[in-house]
Amino acid sequence: MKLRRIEIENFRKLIGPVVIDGIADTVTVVCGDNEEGKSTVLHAIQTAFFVRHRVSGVVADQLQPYGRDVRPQVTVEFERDGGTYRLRKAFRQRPEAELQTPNHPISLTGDAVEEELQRLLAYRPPGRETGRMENRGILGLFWVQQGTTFHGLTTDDQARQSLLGCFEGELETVLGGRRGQILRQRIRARRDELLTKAGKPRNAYAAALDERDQRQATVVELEQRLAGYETEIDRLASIEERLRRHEANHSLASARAALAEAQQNHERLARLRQAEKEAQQTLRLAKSQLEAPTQRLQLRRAETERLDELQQACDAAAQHVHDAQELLRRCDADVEGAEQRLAEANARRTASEHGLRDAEARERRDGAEKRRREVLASLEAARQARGALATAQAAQRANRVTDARIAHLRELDLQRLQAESRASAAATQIRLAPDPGRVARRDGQSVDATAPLEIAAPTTITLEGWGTMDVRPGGDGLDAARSEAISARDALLGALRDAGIASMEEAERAHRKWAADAAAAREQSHWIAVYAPAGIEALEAELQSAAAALDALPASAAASDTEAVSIAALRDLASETIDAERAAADALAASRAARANARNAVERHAGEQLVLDRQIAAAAAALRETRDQESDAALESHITDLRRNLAAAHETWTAHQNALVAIDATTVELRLVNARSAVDVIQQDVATLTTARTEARARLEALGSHGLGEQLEDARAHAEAAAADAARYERDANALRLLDDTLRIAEAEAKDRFLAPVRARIEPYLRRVFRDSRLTFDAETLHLTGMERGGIEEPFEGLSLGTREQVAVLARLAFAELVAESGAPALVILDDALVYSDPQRLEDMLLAIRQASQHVQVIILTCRESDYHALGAPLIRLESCRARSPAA
Amino acid sequence: MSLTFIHTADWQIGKQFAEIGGDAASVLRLERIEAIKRIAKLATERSAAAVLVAGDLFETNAVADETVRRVVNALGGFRGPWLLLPGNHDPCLAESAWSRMARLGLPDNVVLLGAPTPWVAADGRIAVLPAPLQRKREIDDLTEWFDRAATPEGAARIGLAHGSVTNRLPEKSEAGNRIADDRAATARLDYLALGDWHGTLEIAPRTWYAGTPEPDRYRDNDPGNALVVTLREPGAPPDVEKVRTGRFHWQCEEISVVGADAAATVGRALDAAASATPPDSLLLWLRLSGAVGLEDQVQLREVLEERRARLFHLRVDDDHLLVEPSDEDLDRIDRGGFIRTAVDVLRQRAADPGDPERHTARRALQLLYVEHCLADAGR
Repeated sequence: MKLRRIEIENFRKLIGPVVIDGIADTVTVVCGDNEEGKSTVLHAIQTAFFVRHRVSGVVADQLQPYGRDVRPQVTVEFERDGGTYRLRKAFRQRPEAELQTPNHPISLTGDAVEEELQRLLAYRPPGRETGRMENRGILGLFWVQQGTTFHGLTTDDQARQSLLGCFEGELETVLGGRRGQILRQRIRARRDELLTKAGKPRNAYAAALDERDQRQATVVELEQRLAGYETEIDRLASIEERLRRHEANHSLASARAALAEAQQNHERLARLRQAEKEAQQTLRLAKSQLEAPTQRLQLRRAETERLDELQQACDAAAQHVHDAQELLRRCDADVEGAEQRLAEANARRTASEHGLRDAEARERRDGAEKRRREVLASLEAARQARGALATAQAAQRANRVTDARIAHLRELDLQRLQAESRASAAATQIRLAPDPGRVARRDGQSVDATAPLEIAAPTTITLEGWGTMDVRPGGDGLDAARSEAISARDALLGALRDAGIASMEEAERAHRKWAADAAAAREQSHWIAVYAPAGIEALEAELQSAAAALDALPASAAASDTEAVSIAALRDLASETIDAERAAADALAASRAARANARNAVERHAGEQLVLDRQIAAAAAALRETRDQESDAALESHITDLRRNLAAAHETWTAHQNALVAIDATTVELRLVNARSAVDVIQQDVATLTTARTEARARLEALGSHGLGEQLEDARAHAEAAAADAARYERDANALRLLDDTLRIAEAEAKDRFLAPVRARIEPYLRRVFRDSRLTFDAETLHLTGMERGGIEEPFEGLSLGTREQVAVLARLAFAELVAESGAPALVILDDALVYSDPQRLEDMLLAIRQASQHVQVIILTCRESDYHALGAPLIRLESCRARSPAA
Repeated sequence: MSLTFIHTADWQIGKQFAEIGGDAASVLRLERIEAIKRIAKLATERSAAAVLVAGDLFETNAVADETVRRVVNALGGFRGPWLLLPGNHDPCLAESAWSRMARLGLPDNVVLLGAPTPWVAADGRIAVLPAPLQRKREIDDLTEWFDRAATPEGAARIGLAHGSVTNRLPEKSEAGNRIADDRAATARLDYLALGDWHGTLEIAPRTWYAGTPEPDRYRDNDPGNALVVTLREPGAPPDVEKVRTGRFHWQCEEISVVGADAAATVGRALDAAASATPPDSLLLWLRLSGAVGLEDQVQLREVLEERRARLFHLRVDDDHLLVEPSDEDLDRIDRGGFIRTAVDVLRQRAADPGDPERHTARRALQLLYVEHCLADAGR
């Protein structure tokens, strides 16, 4: 189908006739500014084809220009299947439709036009609502109104059916139809009954699994209880076995018999022990009977021996007495000699001590005298210095020119000299040069003619031989200087007068005298301090003290012959005499001690001799008396008898001891202990086992009455049934999951196959703009649902506006090509459809449009003329269409 | 010297039949008590000198007191001696069902043979040599002492034991408690009464298993009997009469089905079984194998559900029944579209032995088919 010419008059924006002519077979660009009526052109074409000419009401009103009441007309010339058609429709006022067809020599008019259009353009009339253009058939799909491109590929039912009719195969067959969808939904519902979306068990399936687990837990619990029951039975059997063994082995009776035997042995042992004890007692008695006579015999022998010993000792004591007396006599002689030597040493010591005391007294008196003389000399010197000091201080007090006064005078004198110098400087100087021999006088005094005369006051100079000359000096400040000089001299003179001195020279002399007196006073004070540091009075007191000390000493003894001997020698001598005396005393004491010892020995030995004599007499008497009572022979015989008795007792006791050893008392006792313990243990064991048996039987009786075996069998069967039930659910759930997955995949693949030709047509276009991409469609609505790029599917609504409009245009171009090939009417009209495309994309899109225009006519309405220059298509400006219109 | 006694064993009182479940299990439990009463009645009718119970009177020693009391009550139907032997299910332990039975109070005619000691009665005409188990599993042959056991002159020597006769039973059955197969000969027994094997069987000369008096499992080894044994004279072969005491029939049917005939085949087999045995006493274990289509499976299920209500109990094991969807099945679900694609994928996976999810895929196909049917039925 190809549009050839369009005439529009009184249609919305286009009031004056507009004729668009020269539309190319391939692609044509119709351009115009905004508000110029481009979109009205598309609207007019749609109206001509799809709106009944008898349309009324709002739809009809909207066809005429705003605010005008006119007759909108649209005429379209087009080609279809090689024939040329001319369609003219007028609306509202005298609605009219006319269609010139290649097959009818007479034009069709009225409703026949509408019917023929439906046939030609393969669309169903929109029914009573004649104005709606939603059902525009397949052409509507390819005509894109401004600002709607990016909404995607919306197809109405007619368009979809037309499009689908272009595809090979049967949609119903491929997709399974409504029945397939019902089955799919039923399976899905059944799957969802058993599984969550995540594939987890739910509802009856989950309940079956829970039931299985609970039943299994019950089985385990019962098995444990039954195992406990059986363990308890084993334990009871073990207890009974042990009791049986006790019984079979007669263990208690055996133990009791062993105990009886052990007790008998133990009693025999006790008897033996008693006999041994009694034998031991007899033995002890025999020993004690022998003991007294034996002791008596021993005592008698000891006393005899002692008597002999006493006699010997007595003889020795007599000899000792004799020897001691001899020694005493020698000691007496020694004492006498020592006493003599001590008396002599004493005399020598006394003499040397007297000599020493005298020498020391003399030495102390000489020292005191020397001290007194030294103090006296110091006192006298101090007294002399004190007199000189008083003289100097008196002279100083009489002299009034002190250091301060002389300083004051010297200051006044300096001031005088300075004042006089200033007066002299201001005075008139006159140098006289008298002839030799001539004299000049001033104020009657001759003048030294060699020196200049200085005249400060009116002066009269008499020049001898010439007369007088009165000089009246009159220099500046002379009078003031003179006055200052006079005042200064007066001040000095006044000060001198106050000091009682006539001149400065005298003042200087007086001051020097004052200074010399001051120095003398300081010197005498120094000497006083040297001789009497504590003062002269203290020195005087010290002199009195020294004199008193001297007086206190006794008068010196006359110097002896030994006066020349030093005190040190005297002291050494005294010390020697003392030592000699001490040695003599010690010797005397030793002699006296020796004599005392000798005397003591004599006395002691004599005493001993006396005691021994007495003891000998007593012992001899006692021995005689004992023998008188029992002779030595009788005593020894008695002892022999007693020893025989002792030997017999010992033999008896030894026999009993051997019997005890032979019976092994320890073994007998241990056996008794063991036997008693064995009886106790066995009795205890039997009692414990009996109690345990009773308890075990009671427990088993209680447990057994519950019928655990029956319960367990029942529980096992229930557990098996629950497990089978759960397995059945699991099997069905798995089957439903597999079934659902398989159906889903099959459906997706079917749709994919169904859309294959669509994709095959689109892909060449798509590759021009979007490489490595793929469009996805809803297989039933043919709506664009998204685009896959790099393996990732993006929903259509998620794409950018530019991409969406490009994709939508490309899809239309592809569909239009497909439709055109199938022989159905196809014509692409794009009303500013690519407004969001960047230059590169636009260039790619123009290539795609050019490619499509090889198969289907494309008309582009745009206000962006320059965008389409690259397309190289014929350009029709809406403005020129208007200019060429007959009305223009 | 004609002597008659009853030989029975393996009452397994206390068995729960929990795998049967529900009311049926209760009925089965109670019926075992009824079987004792029938034995008592038989003993009374035949004027038996004694009833010998060769072990496993109880399913376990840990049965409830109430169960023990029910047994004691049931024994009241015969006033002659009941000689009870502990078996491997109820060994004579330190504490057991026997000790509790004794504590609850046993009638004088009930004798527990808990020790290997001859029991002599009927004025010395009968001497029973028991081999009681005192634990679940004995390594030694407890009947050995029979060879040396002295019995009164002229007394019938009857051995009573519980275990597996060597060389005569399937190997698996000989795991424990062995009994020499020539014990009757070596011990000069007139009769050796055995328990443990639940079917009635003359296992060796003069040596019989009485079997359980009331069947308790799906095993076709002639259970549900008691033996009336008559010894006419010393050394003569015993006269053994098998008397039916069981009420229920436990039957196992293995049926292989293929394709569309499956439902009909199974239906016929079930009907045949129900006609041979009173349906209300028939427990049938149906083990199905073969291969059916999905539609066949649906029909098969309908047949099974319908028959289940007629029988006392029906257990169906179809683990070995391969449900393979036929082309028609699959066409019924869909001939094209993605549903068919999914069906083909699942069928392919189900047929792939290396696919770990092949069973899941098979089940998925079944479920899909069911949903298809339900959808078609508007449910």
